[in-house]
Amino acid sequence: MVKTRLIALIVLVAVYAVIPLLFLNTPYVVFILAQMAFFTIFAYGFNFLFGFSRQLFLCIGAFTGIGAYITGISLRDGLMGPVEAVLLSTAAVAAVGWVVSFLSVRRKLVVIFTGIFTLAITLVFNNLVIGLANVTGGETGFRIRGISLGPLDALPYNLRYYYVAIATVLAITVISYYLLFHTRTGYAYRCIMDDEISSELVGINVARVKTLTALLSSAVLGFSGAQYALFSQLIAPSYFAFASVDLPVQIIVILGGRASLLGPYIGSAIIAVVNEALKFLGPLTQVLYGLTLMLLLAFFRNGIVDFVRRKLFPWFF
Amino acid sequence: MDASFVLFLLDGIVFGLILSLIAAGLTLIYGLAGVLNLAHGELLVICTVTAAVLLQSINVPLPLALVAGVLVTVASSVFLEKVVLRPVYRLEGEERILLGLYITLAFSIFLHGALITSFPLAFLTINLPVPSLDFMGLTVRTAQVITGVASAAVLVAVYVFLKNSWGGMAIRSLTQNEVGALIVGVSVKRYRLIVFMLGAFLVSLAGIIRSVVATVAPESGIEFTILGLLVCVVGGIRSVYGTIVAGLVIGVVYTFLVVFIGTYLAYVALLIFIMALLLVRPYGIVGERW
Repeated sequence: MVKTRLIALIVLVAVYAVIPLLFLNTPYVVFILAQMAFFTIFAYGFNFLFGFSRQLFLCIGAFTGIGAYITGISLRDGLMGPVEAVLLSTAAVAAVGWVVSFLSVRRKLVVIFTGIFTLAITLVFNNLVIGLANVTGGETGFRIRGISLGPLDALPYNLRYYYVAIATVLAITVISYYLLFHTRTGYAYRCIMDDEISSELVGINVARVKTLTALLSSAVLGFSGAQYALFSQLIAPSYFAFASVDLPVQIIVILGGRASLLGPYIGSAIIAVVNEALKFLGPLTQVLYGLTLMLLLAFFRNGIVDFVRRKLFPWFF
Repeated sequence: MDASFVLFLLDGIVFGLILSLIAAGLTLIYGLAGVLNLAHGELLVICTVTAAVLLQSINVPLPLALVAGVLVTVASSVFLEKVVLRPVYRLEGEERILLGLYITLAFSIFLHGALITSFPLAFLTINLPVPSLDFMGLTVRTAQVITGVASAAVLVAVYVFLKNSWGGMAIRSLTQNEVGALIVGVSVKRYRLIVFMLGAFLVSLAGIIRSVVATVAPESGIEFTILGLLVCVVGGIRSVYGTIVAGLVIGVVYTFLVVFIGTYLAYVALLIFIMALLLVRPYGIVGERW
């Protein structure tokens, strides 16, 4: 079992390392790939919050945005170096996520409350960013200068960040695989996924596991948001709006499969291709996203991974 | 304590009543169908956009345009209930709540995209031809008083309907105990549809009333949804009486925050206020568990 998964991981790494090399002459494709890699990380954060621990956080855009703005502002004003800025973003977003989760878990609030609460956070984040225009640049945002990534500087610009993002998401996958299948917390997780009340009864501290998940996932979101800011070099509210982050992320997670480690990879790859193919629709993409999400929820709720596992290759799993 | 204070208070009360109208529909739908309708604010916008488009393009008289708006809104909510939410009712318990939340979110995204791309300029403002009044040295806009009285009247009517009519009692019994209500012969399907239509009717009235005191833009649906949800949460999500009180509280607090610290930061302060309120009274100000 472990061996098959190790082979799968090596294949994954190889595929993701080689794919952009085929498109070296077209920077645009590499740019799309880099964006796809970042959305895979975002989807991982959401997947852990929603898929694994059933906390509906509808503020992925706000969380990544907080990370991006902290990094962006401290780099623009020369408050600290890039490494410290990224670390600060990670810590800050982790703290916010922990507080939100703590409030909703400790008060025993149902899943919808968390949903409403985090949706309100999204709204607050947007208003705050636009309202504090003298710090954040308001609607138009601000630019930061690119930073050096050490040995990766030899590569073309988009490729650098592609590798950074892919390395991050692969590392997260490996770590979460280890956590899920080889530690006590992992067992607790899988119990909570099946039935929360029973797991409470057998002595699992559900509240602790949930808040811990929120802490780690938010840290991932803050880190990747900061990286995303460095990558795009332009930090504007529209980049982190509900429609441009949360929506694709939710489609990725539901399409790929909730609570699966491979789901976000598949989902984000499909979304990247579909998004490019439908670029000519312009603002109508949002209508299409809404429609897709509705149809997916109605007829394909368990995602591709589950479909493959149940219908196509039951012998493999 | 000067003249403008009273005017802001009046503003806040009118806004609060509008929020109560939105939240009352949300509460009824959640209580009966177990679906937290995240597309509720978009329904409000459907009404105002329909009316505005009819007014702007083919010069329909105002009352007719408003009636058309209400009808289109009710029709969309019937579509939502009968077609979009069909898979939701096959599930039970937490799964149903979650899928309902998600599917209505998707529906609202769909509507939002469709509305702002097709009718980006369909702003609705209604200017009532009524004069301003001088009352104890204050200039009170009569239109505002009328809207306040109108929304209060609608809310009272809803309350009386729920309290006294047979249909209202059926709705309340279904909210309290679905199985029990089924045993004594109340049809869930029928009342679910009625509640969705009632919710859409209330929210479209809220849209019309809002457009008398301010302009309703086609992209403001999500904002109304979130404000309505916050009112629901503060009021205790199963109690219509609680939502009316909470709507007034939030409306007044929000208006004063806007006046003193500006529109954008008012949301931040409002959310902090609500968080504090929920930490003290986690099941809403009326205090019913949900």
